[in-house]
Parts: sequence; structure tokens; C-alpha cells
Amino acid sequence: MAPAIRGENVTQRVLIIEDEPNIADALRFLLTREGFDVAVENDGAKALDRLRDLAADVVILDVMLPNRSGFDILRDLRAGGGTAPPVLMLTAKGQAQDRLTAEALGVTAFMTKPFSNAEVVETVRGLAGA
Amino acid sequence: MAASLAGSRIREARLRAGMTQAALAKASGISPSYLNLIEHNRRRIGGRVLNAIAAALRTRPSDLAEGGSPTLIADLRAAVAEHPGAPADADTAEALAGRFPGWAEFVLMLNRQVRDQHAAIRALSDRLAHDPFLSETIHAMLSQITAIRSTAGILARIDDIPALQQRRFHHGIDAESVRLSEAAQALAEYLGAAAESPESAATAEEMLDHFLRRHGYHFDPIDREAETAAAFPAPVAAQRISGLVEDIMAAETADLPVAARSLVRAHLTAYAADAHAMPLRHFADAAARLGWNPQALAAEFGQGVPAVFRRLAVLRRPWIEAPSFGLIVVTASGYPLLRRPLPDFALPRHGNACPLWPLFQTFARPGVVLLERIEHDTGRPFVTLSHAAPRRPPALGEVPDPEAAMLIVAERESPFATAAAARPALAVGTSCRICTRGDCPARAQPQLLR
Repeated sequence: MAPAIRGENVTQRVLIIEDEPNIADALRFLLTREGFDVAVENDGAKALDRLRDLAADVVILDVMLPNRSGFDILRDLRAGGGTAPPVLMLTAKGQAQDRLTAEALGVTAFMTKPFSNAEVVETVRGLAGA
Repeated sequence: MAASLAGSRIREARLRAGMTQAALAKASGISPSYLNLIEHNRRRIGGRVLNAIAAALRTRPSDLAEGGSPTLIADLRAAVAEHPGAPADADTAEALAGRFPGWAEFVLMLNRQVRDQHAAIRALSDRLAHDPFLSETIHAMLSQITAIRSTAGILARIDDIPALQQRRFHHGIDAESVRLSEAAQALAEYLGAAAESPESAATAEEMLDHFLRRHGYHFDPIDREAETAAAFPAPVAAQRISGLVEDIMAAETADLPVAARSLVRAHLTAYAADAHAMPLRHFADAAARLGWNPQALAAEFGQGVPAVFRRLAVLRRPWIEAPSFGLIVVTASGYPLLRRPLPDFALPRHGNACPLWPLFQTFARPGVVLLERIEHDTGRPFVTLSHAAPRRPPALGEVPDPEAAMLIVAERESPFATAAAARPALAVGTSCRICTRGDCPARAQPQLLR
């Protein structure tokens, strides 16, 4: 598996903000195999600090999180200015309104649960290369 | 002005009577030209002339003079106002109410039905969109399915998973599948409870179902009254029973929409007639004595087989030993007119019943009571008695409007089990959507959960 490279020999980092441990575990395994450096955060309230500390290249963000919703996190991330990383948003709702809200808040990609592993991996690779 | 339309009504009455203007004018003692002006609403009339015209037309003066009821006119105007852009002019409501009051009432009835149905659709849609339990449960189920799908995909397609990680994945799938089962069960229970709740009834038929279920499908006060009916002259007995029906209507249906009240009243009236014709204890004794044979019971009480089926379906009480009968009555198109389901034999509410049910065979053999053994797709055996008959005797040249009824009883408590034992069981279901028989040649719709 070719490592995901950031600049000169630096592995790209993905932060998975997801409170369902088994989904996070599967995503971590898949993306690690793809050569990404993967971290998981399950608390919405801690997500932004974690993001800043990690300087993630791609964020996978669930909508329904304990303490803070994915929409709030996305809003703050985009409001921070600078070069915020691309965000793949995951939702189990999939309603048109959720997608519109996410797009209005500046989401980069949007995916509804249940998704296929190949779909997630392809999307993250695309976002990391963008 | 209502009076301004009297001329139009005179003209219509004259044409219906097949009279010429000249003939009516002569019979009324006025000139044809004056009658012409009256008929074109250019002259107001009243008193002597109106009486003379009415007498000549053999009708009441009030039928010609009265305009539409003010309430009817006001309701029509309100109905038009509810539909902005409708190609109806509120100013002509008076003409419609005055000239065609029956059609005006019909328009209002349709408008009420549309309004009720919009409200029901809104309520259902709102429930689906905003019910917090549904939303939370479906969200949780989708998350569990996602975890299982991703993990199973990894296990199926990737060979070099470290042993520890493999164990984590297996545990994850196990845990998520348990949670998924629990969530699905909770959802099924919730939807089942919602279906039982009167608040969830959206249509008049559902409201009738809730009403009947709440009463256990029988009405003891009516049955008690019917048993004492013999002590009174027939008109008094009938009046006492219909008074009871009205009491139940007043006490229990005030909050229901008009359409549902009408269904409940029709059901109670039919129930009362059956109770009167086949008083409960007398019927129970006769049923046991005659081996529950519906044709023998019909002969004993001078009733039709459909009425006997209805009575058998409500016979069992805590103090009356009788099998638990289910009953469904359908039109020739399969639409259910009456449902009395059994706990382990669901009956469809909106048609689309299993086409293999014996009751559909009876449309080709009206009057025959068909005894069949059936095996439901749940694996449970039942015995059915089916019978078709015209809903009312057709007039000469009229096409009969048949209904078919099927009485259903679990084989273990069926009084007909011995008679039916020699027959092979027909493999049936409730309706194609929920039937699990994958190889059924009669399947008309795909199974919902496949």
C-alpha cells in the first residue's frame, strides 16, 4: 500500500471525529492501511482543540456527537479562517436538509451511513490529494 | 336575493312537468308574457300568483319561493375561500344553494373530506418526520449497520489482519448486531403500539377498527337489551335498541370526524339488528346444539349466513363458551368491509389480501358455504368457512353487488376440524407484502422485507 505523503516524506494525518467506537475502529484500520496517520476523537466538545493540536490534513466528521454537533464544529472550523482542512461529513440522517446545512457551512464532501469502505477510502484519498 | 331565483325554479319545475309556458300561464290565470318575465327572474312574485303557479305545477309554494338555506350559502362561501384560485365565484354560491341544494351539500361534503384527509396526511407526515423516538432509533440503527458493514467488509476482503485486531472486529460485529436486534425490536414494538393507539388512527376505517377493538368487538348493553326485547311490542323493542345505539354514539364518538361516526353508527345498527334477530344466549345454545353449523343456524333464526357469521364472530364472552372466530367481509374487489382479526391471524386493512384465501373462490359459487383447512405462512393451521352473497337483493336487471365473508378459527379449537380433516391444507398468507412464502405462484407484489 503506497503511503499517503504530505510534502516531502511526511505522512498525512486524518482526524476521525466519531463517537461510535466500532465505526471509528473500522475507519482507523482502513485508513491506516492506506498509509495515513489516523487519530480518533469521540467528544464533540474536544474536537476543535484536537484538530489544532494535530494539524490534520483531512477531517472525517460525524454529525451526531456527544456535547457538540458536527455542524457546530464545522461552523467554528470555517469561521477560524486560514487554511482549514477539507472535511468529509458523515450522517446517518441523509436528509436533504442536512446536506444543504453542511454545504452552507463549507463542507468539502458529504456521505450518508451506511457507506462502503471503498467509497470512504477513495473520498479521503481524493481530499488528501486536493 | 333568494326570491330573485324563484323564476328559475318555476321554469325548472314546469319543464320537469312537461308543460309549455302557455299551458302553465293559462292554468295559473296569468298571461304567457308575464310568466316569461317571472321565469327569467325579472318579476318578483308572491302571494296569490305564486300559489296559483304552485297549484298548477302540483308543488308547494315554498318549494318554488324559498332560496337556499343561509347556512348552506355561508358554508359554500367559506369552502370557496379555503381554495384561493378555485374557478368558483363566491357570489354564485347563493344560486347553487338555491337551485341545486343537493349538489351544494355534496360539494361541502367533499370539501370536508378533503380537509379531513389533508389533516390526516399532515399528521402522519409530521409523525414520521418529527417523532423523536423514530428519528433516534433509525439513526442508531443506521450507525449500527454502518459499523457492521464496514467491519464485515474488512474481515471478508483483507487477509492480513493482525489477530488482536481481528478479535476486536469480531467483538465489534457481535456487539453491534445485538444492539441492532434490540433497536429493531424496540422499533417494531413502538410501531405495533402506535398501530394499537387510537391517536394513531388516520382514516375513518382505522377509527372504526380502534372503536371495535376497544370494545372487544361486542356490545354487552345492546345484547342485554336485545335479550329482553321479547317482553316488549316489536316497535318498542326496536326503539329501545336504537336508543342504546344513540347512547353509545353520544358517549363515545363525539370527537370522531363525520365519516368515522357514520361507519360506527352503521356498524352498531347492524350489530343491534343481529342481536335482536339472534339474541346472545339463545344463539349460543342453538350454536352448540347445531354443531356451529352456520346454515342450520341461519334456518333456525330465519337469517342469512352473513348475519350468522357476524354473530358467531362476537359470540365468545367470559360467560359463554365458544371458539374464537375471526371474520373478514370483503367486496368483490377485495376491499374489507368488516374485520375481526385473531391474535395470530392478521387481516389486511386496505385490501390486497392473499388471493388464495378460500373466500375469493366463493364469489364464483354464491350461496355455498365452503369449508377449507388453511396453513398460514406463520405455520399455524386454521379452518375457514367462506360464503358469498349479494349485499342486497338486486332489482330486476340490476347487476348484483356481492360480498364474501370468511370465518376463521384456529384448527385446535375448531368445531369443524373433523369435517375438514380429510382436506389438504391450502398454503396462504395475510397479504403478499408481508407473506414469507417465496415460491408462491400467486404472488402479486414483492415481499416488503426482501
